[in-house]
Amino acid sequence: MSAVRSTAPAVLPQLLPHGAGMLLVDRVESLTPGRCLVAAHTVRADEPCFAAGADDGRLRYPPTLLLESMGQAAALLWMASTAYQHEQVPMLATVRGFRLLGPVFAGDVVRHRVRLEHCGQQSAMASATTEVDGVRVAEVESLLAVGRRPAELPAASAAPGEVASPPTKEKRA
Amino acid sequence: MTTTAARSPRLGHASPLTEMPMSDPSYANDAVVRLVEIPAGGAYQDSHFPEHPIFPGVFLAELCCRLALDLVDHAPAVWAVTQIRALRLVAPVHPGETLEVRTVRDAQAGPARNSVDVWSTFSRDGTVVGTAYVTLEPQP
Repeated sequence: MSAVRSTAPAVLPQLLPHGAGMLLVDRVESLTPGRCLVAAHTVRADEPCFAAGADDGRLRYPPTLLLESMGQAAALLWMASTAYQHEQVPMLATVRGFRLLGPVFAGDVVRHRVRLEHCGQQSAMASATTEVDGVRVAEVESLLAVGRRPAELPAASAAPGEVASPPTKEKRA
Repeated sequence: MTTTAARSPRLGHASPLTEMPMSDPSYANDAVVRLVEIPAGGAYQDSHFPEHPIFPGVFLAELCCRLALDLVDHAPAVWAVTQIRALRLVAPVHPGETLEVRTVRDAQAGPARNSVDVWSTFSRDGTVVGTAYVTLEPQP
């Protein structure tokens, strides 16, 4: 059994490659590998996006970060599937049909319900809805993630555009 | 180069982006074009990913929303993002790069309502690295 599938759902988010500032899933509440997942994130008032405050005092969460949080939940569902190929970095590739149905504020707990629509070794597609206190606040028709090998990605010390190692033939094509 | 902070109207949600130097808008036909410098760091960006820093793809959609403000009337002053209809990430965008962003208002889309549908195309050295299609509505 892989490291992901043998990890307790509650601590699964720690397996995402994101650092603390961009880790937008706090916990996995339920998981059926290969099928569905429920994950939650508490929107904290001390998240960097709120540093400038708000004119009306109400801190509205950026829809793009809500989408990122949904995407991370979907990535965890893919990583917990038998098809997932390890030693790759899951990255968002396409999004279709994201709708924000209600505002999300600091202090809200967003709960994502993700369903895996398609799953392969190097890509996966999911749909998702998000609720706050049982009320749907967002939905997305499809999220497509692809796996990229670390060698294709820039190292932390690399110059802009420079990858960790020479790109492969298929990358150059 | 100017920064996003000086522009109005504005979006109604908190900004996840650090200040991003960008050129003044250049208008051509129905499109507006800006050059945007992707910052080398930022509160969110630094952790996406610590070992392989890549500009978060969702932030291209955020940029599209910001640049849509170049194409809306100044009243109402505050706009809400209600849809990210499509986001396509063709290639990773790295910190320190400069992107050309061409943004067009889609006059054909949507029913007769007070919403704005906007396309952005993000290019690096003439090659498209991503596209985003968003809908903004006046914030109640």
